[in-house]
Amino acid sequence: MALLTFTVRRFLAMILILWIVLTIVFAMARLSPYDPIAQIMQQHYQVAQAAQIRHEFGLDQPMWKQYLNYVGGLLHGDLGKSESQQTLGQPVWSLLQHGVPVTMKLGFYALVLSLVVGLPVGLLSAIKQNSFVDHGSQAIMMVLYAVPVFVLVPLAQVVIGVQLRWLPVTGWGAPGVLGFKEAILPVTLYAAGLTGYFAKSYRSFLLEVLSQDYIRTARAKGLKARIILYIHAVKNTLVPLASIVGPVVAYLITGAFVIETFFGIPGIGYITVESIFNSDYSVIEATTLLLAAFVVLVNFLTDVVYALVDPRVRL
Amino acid sequence: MAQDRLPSRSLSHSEAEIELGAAEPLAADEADSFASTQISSPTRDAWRRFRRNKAAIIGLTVIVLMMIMAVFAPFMHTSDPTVPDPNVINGGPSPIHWFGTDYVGRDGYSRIVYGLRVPLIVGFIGTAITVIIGTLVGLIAGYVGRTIDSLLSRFTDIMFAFPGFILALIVVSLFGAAADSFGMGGAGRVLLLTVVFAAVGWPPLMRFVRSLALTMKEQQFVEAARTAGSRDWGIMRRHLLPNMWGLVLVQGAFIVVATISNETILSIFGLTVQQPNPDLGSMLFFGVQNIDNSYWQVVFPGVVLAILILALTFLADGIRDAVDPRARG
Repeated sequence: MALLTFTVRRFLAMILILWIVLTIVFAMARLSPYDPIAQIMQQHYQVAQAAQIRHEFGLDQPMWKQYLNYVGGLLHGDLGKSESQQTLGQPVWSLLQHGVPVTMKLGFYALVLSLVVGLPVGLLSAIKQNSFVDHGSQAIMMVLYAVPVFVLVPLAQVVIGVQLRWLPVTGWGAPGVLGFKEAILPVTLYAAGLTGYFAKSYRSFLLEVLSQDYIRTARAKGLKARIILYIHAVKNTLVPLASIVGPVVAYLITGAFVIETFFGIPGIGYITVESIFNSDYSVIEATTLLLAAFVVLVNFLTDVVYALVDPRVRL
Repeated sequence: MAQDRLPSRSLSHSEAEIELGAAEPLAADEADSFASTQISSPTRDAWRRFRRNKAAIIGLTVIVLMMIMAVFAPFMHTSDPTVPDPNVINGGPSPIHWFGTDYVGRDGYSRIVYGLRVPLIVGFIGTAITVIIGTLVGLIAGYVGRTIDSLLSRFTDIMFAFPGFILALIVVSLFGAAADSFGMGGAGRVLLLTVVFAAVGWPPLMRFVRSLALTMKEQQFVEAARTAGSRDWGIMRRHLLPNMWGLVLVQGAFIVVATISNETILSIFGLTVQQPNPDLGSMLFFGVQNIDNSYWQVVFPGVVLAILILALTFLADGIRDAVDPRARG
């Protein structure tokens, strides 16, 4: 019962935060000195025509009405209209909708790869603490974690893609091309930083758990080392793992922007960066809302999972 | 090893020095060998641990060198970073242009020296402001508690919903052009970036400081100070802050890394200082456009950025290990 009240309360808080987030985005867009109409028309600016476009976008209405229209539109899944010259008046969602599955797929592959590599490496260096294996693998993981993705990507493109010509550097996600070869470089480089982060964090989580009294008790009563590790210790590292969900999500989002831009993968990061170059601010606003909603949703789910595994949180 | 020395021997040694009138503070490595006779303080212990950490010292040296290069860029550059030379478009590394030239013929080395300024200014000044905001808000929320705490905490929850990078992205893209209009040579843009990163970076630090303040205010030394008649502000300033500044410094060092990374990504997307002003991220971006035939446009700015961020990470790790040895990962 306590879990249900907790979940409902968290859910209401999530809705409230989403509302505040969209209000802030709306306020920023309206406070900006930038005039989309002037941008669209540029040197062909005519007062009558400008007024007509302004009317079509609903920008001639009073501010409170614009706000209601905006919120009402969002409730109906309308993220606004494009403001760039090429795609003027098209719904923003029609520009973004093809990018969402691409970005999600890319992020999912990278996340799985980094978990599959990072956690076992962290586990190995924890059980062989202070050995050669530990120091060696932790040094490699430290470099993977610390070298920023926006440096790794262009350097890898120069060496592997251009000098050695082993792997293609573009093409993934383009219509018709969903090849394995095109995916190797972007997914690996996307996963590199996360792998290092998981390996480093998991090592310290496991060491923390292994130093606890109940592990000593288990050892003292003669349980096999393997059972202690996999049944007793690993299970209890899942709770601290939930605490790094926030940084991981932040990494996935910035990483999506960088990877998609450098590799020309048409996900929402790439579309948003393109719209920055085209001064299409409605797309940037929509992406901000989508990603903020994603973060709020992940935070909500993390809280609920936390409450499920650790009853003390529900208070 | 300093600790292996018998206390009595080093004690007599230092007493002899005092008799001779050498009472001024001991030099850095002398202080190390007399560690057992010094009154140990957390700061002094941390500094000693820090000095033993080679990676951290290398990191610190690299960052100081880069700062010197950025500050004294007018004396370090070989040609004007904004003036193109049409004779050597996309030229490779040569005795005149050490790091080659870019797609309009500007000198790569000079652009890197000047380009270091933007990430360093935004990274360090932005973080300094964000650390002050986060510490103040967290301290007040944690110490004062009640309504003020719940108000400030809810506000922080809202800030948490925005990924910092996305918030910086939208603010800079909406207000960047306006910032350019009242600044000389991209200074308006740099100011905007600094303010934006100062505004988005503090929520995690606020939560951290708040939790420290919550546990500390229940401890006896705070109670004693309150009994002795100290006011709340005095307790926060003289008793809580000195006890947490080391841990705050650790967080601050990691925020610098994150800020410089995010600033570089924004600059790759063309949102920081505009052409022809130099910035490392945009050099990287334009280099990649030309990746097939001029590797130096990618490799040099890329390697400099990697060195900068690696040095910052080593420094941050070193500060953490020095201040809080148990947290060592």
